[in-house]
Amino acid sequence: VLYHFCEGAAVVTLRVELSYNRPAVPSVCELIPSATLYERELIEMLGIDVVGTPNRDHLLLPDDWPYGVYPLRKAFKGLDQNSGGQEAGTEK
Amino acid sequence: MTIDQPKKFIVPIGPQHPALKEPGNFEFSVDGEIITGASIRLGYVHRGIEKGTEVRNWVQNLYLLERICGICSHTHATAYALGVEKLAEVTVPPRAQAIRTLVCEMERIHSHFLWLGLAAHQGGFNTLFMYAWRDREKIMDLLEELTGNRVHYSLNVLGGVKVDINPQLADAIRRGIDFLEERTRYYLKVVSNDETFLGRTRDIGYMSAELAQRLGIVGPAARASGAVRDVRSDAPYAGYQNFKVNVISDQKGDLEARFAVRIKELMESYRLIRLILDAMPSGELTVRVPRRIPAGEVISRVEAPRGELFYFIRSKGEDKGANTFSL
Repeated sequence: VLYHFCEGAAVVTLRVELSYNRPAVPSVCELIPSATLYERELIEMLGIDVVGTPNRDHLLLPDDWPYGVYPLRKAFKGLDQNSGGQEAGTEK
Repeated sequence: MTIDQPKKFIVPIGPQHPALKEPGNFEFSVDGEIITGASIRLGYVHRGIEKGTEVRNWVQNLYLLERICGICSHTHATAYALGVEKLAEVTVPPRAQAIRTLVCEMERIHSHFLWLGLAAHQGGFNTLFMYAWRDREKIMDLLEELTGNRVHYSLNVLGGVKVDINPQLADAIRRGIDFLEERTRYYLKVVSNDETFLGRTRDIGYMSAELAQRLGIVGPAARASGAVRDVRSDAPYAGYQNFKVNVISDQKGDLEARFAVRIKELMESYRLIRLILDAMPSGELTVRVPRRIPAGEVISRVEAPRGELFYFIRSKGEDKGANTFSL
């Protein structure tokens, strides 16, 4: 996860490396409340657990999106068309 | 009967709603007429562009990313092109940068006019809405004359721009700008003097500088709440090193201030466009960019008409497989 902090022309990037198996980061919402949207996106699109974030609801994906499938991960190649989107695709 | 529970009534709005410009879902918790909470759901028109960039090559991505936004398409393409050019370590000729900057400002004009019209419409001032959109056509026509397109200009290529500007076109733009400047001066007078309209904008929708900071507001809305923040002057890109921007801001933070800031930014854009046209550098329009972009990561920031645009691009050193994030 990369955090970019900008002040004027300067950008500071904080890089946090996570394990692929159990990715989790603490929430920054206490310091930067507007980060909540990005943290919700992290949770649903990349499957990264954001500990202590105020809202964990789906932001972008539909309600019937299969559990545990994260579309922005590199391993994601699309949902299985035959199952009508009910099963996980090629997610490992 | 249990009355002890806190009264909470939820009003759902969307995903489809006549007042919404695009689908989105908002749930407002209300206590009588006071809104006590809100939650949002987006993504009804999510097109997976970020994922799409991974399988396209660098040139294809330019056109894909331009389609993120129909109002600020050039800004997206510019942010991407600047990032990729930095990765490829090429220097874009000054004339190309100046033309990019010119179109950035023309795009800002059309976007601000669009906002002005819509904002007037929401305020019940439909005459101003019609006038603003009529005048917006002027700049759209000029953009079409310059680039061939009204919306997705496809002006940028990696390493430069596609179209050149000739003296006749420059004169046409100057004339258009003269007309728009006169109209804009009039609109500024209207929105800061019309009693009925002021009743709907003055001290309405007040946003303090602290609140703007907390909500992460960017662009003209933040500048109307006292923030002096504009990527064009904070971290000049493309041609903005040579053509300095005066950042417009206002301390008041109400709707009237947001009108004033946007209209004054229009005036600033006119000034910049004249400056660019008068001091257009001569030379090449493009520089060669390799098909394979060297591996690396880059950040690219651009001031879109409605606030800062931030691109993070990662290259694996192939001819495709970009990894682009934008906020």
